[in-house]
Amino acid sequence: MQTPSRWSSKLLKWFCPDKLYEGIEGDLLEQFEKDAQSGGLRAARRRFSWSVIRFFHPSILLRNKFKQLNNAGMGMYKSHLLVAYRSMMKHKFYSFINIFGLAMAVAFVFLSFLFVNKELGYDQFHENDSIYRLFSQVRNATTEETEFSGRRSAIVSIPLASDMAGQTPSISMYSRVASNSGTVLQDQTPYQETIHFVDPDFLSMFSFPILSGSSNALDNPNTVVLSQESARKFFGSTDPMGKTLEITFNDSSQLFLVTGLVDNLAEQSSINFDLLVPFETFATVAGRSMNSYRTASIEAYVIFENPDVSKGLSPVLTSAVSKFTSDDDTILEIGIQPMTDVHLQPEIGGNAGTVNPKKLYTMSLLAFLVLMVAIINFITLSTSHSLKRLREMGLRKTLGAFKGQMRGQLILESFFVSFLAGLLGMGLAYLVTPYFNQLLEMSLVFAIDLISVAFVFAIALLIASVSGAIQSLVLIKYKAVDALKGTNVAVKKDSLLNQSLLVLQFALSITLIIGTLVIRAQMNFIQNKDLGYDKERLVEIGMQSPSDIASSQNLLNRFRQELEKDTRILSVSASMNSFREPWTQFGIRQVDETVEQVFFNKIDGKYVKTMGIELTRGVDFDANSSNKSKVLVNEALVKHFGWEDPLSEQIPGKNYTSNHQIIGVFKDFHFSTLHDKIEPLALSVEGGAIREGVTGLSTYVWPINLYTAVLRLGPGDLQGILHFVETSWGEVNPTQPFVYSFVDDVLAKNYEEEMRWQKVIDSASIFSIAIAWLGLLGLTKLSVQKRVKEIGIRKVLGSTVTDITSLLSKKFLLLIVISNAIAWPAAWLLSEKWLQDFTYRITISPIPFLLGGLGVLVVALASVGYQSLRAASSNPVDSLKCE
Amino acid sequence: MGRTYLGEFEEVTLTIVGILGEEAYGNAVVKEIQEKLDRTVNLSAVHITLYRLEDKGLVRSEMGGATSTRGGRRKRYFKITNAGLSLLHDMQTQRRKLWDLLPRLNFSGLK
Repeated sequence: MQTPSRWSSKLLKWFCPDKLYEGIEGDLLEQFEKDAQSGGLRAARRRFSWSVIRFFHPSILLRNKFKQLNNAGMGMYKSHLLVAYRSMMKHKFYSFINIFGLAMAVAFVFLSFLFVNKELGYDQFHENDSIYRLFSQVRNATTEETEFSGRRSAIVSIPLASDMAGQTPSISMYSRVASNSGTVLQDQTPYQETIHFVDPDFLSMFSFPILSGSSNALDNPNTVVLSQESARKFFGSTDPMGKTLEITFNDSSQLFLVTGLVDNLAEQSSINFDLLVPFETFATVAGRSMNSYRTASIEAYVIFENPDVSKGLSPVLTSAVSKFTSDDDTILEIGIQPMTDVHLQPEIGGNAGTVNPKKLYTMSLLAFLVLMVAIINFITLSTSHSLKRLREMGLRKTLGAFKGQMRGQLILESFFVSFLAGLLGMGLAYLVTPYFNQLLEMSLVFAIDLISVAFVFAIALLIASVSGAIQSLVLIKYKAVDALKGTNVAVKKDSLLNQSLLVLQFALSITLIIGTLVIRAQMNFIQNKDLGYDKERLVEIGMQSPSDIASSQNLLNRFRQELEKDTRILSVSASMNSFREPWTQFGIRQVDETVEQVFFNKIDGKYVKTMGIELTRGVDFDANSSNKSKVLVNEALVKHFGWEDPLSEQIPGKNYTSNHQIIGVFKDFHFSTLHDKIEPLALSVEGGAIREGVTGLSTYVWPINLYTAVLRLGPGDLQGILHFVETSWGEVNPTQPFVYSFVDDVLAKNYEEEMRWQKVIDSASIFSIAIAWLGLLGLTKLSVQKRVKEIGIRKVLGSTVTDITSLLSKKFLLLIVISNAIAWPAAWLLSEKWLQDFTYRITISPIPFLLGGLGVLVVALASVGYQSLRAASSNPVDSLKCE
Repeated sequence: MGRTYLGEFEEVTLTIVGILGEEAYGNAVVKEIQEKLDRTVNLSAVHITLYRLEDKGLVRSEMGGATSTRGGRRKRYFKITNAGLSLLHDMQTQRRKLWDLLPRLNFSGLK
């Protein structure tokens, strides 16, 4: 018997719908028989198989699969949507509350999403994913203790990266990144700029888009690569390539040839630069420390191609450099950190701005809470509201609707509403993005892309399925008869579910309000705390210091002379450290090999007076006698060493051979932020006063010198005084730009992050309260409407308006009391946790709790009361006449 | 329901089904197209088109009686419906109308 190949028959049977199978196979067989007679078996078989494959076509495969849905189903969906639309239009107030509340939540969630997404997106654009940043930690070889409180720092010594690359074959590229301020002279105008010094690999390691030039742009000395901003600043719209810039570091100026133009992607990059020059140039700034492991001043990045490498401290790397650092009793431990973690690990300090991932969690949590409030709102409202539609449900049931169909309808309706809310929310988010940016000092870009649309869609779907499911649980359980009669069911008390959701919602809102108030109180406390010095009208001016102390002292003296001609300037001094940076910290090795840490600042003789620091013992530095070996210490230091008579003591240290003299003790003042405790501090006019015993160092400025002039301004027009100061500066120091900052501004900057968070929490609580309030409004209205007849009867029987109002409000009052009972402990715990980060903090007072609780109570009662009052004062005839 | 439009191959298939009358099934249509139009078409293409025409309500199908050939499989016969016929008729009328509007070369002036 001649048959076609079995596999093709089987295939046809497998994919062909049963209904069509017989006709198709018959036709194919007929064709096959004819072919077999005329052409031969093999050709016939081949044609048969080929024809079968040609039948593998969507219109055959999918036939009868979707037809049912397309015809009957779609009509049903259409009708559902129409019903949803009609019921929405019928109850405009309720729909408005429902949709608008949800839209607000979606907007907030969307903005938080943008924010978190942006923070997580830092440094993700680098194509090479084996980029690591080096960090180090100093360990005492004898005591095994880590120095500088175990601080891991990404600020490392200059030769580290290059030596390590030489020792470790798996490091294929490295680039050190150093920065220093320099003066760019262009068209006779000096610009104070931060210049970055990088190794030639920089442009090929990192993926900053190169707009002109190549990745070899920095291979030759005296070349400079510009960012777009700096190119525009120095050269306007003309092409900068091939032009030259004169840059001065530490009195020595050089000409640099512009060899490249790159996009610095400042919004997404931890490494921020405007001018890149080859690393060799850094020698003019760093001097001898170019080859020293003793000072850490730069960041270093490597491409480390070893898949086994673990994040964190690496014994391999540590031993690779140990021979360079085997100087004495400390071990320099080296670790690596993936580039993509740099922005998210604030515990490893470097030059890059970081964000604490905790904050991202907090933000996501806040968004989640606000969304929760809105969803709860949505659910309670739609459930209570849908009770009004019991009749419709009953009718549908009577006409033969299945439970599944009705559930489908309810979910579809919820989806329709929540999707509408989602779209509205996106629109809202679009409108407020600029304000949000301003508030957070960020530059979020509102972009509608696939992710955000999918995001809104997902939220809508989530809300729809949850609320639809709950609604159907509530609605469908009623018997058709009860539902149709619509008698006893609708008047039923609000379900336990509704009430607990309402409680939850208010608990969340109250928690947020209390949190907001606590944060505010702490911020106020910080801003008004006595810092131990007078921060008002205190100005710091950056002195581009000459290399030796004598000439900077000289510069200061001339400046002072110039300024003292004007009585509006009360006092002029200078110091090594400024309030913009953490101060210099010395490690002093003790006889028992432990290390004591003491902060240090070299100052000018008038510093204590200028700052308004109070001396509690001894005397200030005297301009007229020698200040050699003399120091002032703070009370924290005295307390730390447990001294009875500090003026006769010495700061202890193994390496001290000569004596220094503590001439006075001053009251503790906050030289760092209020996050930190006041640590021991020593001030000296003579840079070397306690230098001898110093065995470790952590500093932003080095060597010891005066880097900042400090001025106390008298009362009067600030602009005028500043103008005078600037002119005087120009006279004594014409080549340096005038860069100044007010100390109180700088301090405020330290708390910028907290201020930002305060605003975020503020807006979150406003959002949540607004949403919760909208919900309450809707809910009370519904619950009053349900009891309209009851109210009528009560009035007829003699109830007063007050009776009825209190009757209706009582329940809500109770719910809010319960919410407070939940919210207070939660808010207390959260506030405690947040305050833990501050060393100087408020104790939590009951006021925020009372305010939060009462505030919500008042708002709720006002809206409930209003509704109740309206119901209570209506004429009972209106509500009763229809029966 | 909007107007129904037909593709070229759909129109050919529909017409052939009309021509074949009671005898229109897959292979017969293929053969007829081959003979009348000298055009080789694939069986699957014809089937797919026939089902599409059925969806549009232009043809109707039913299974025929048992056969001895073709492995004993019955044939699925297609028959043109009134809607199909009137659609074909409309299309012809329209075509003619357009055809009449086409400018023709006029030889009368040559003489």
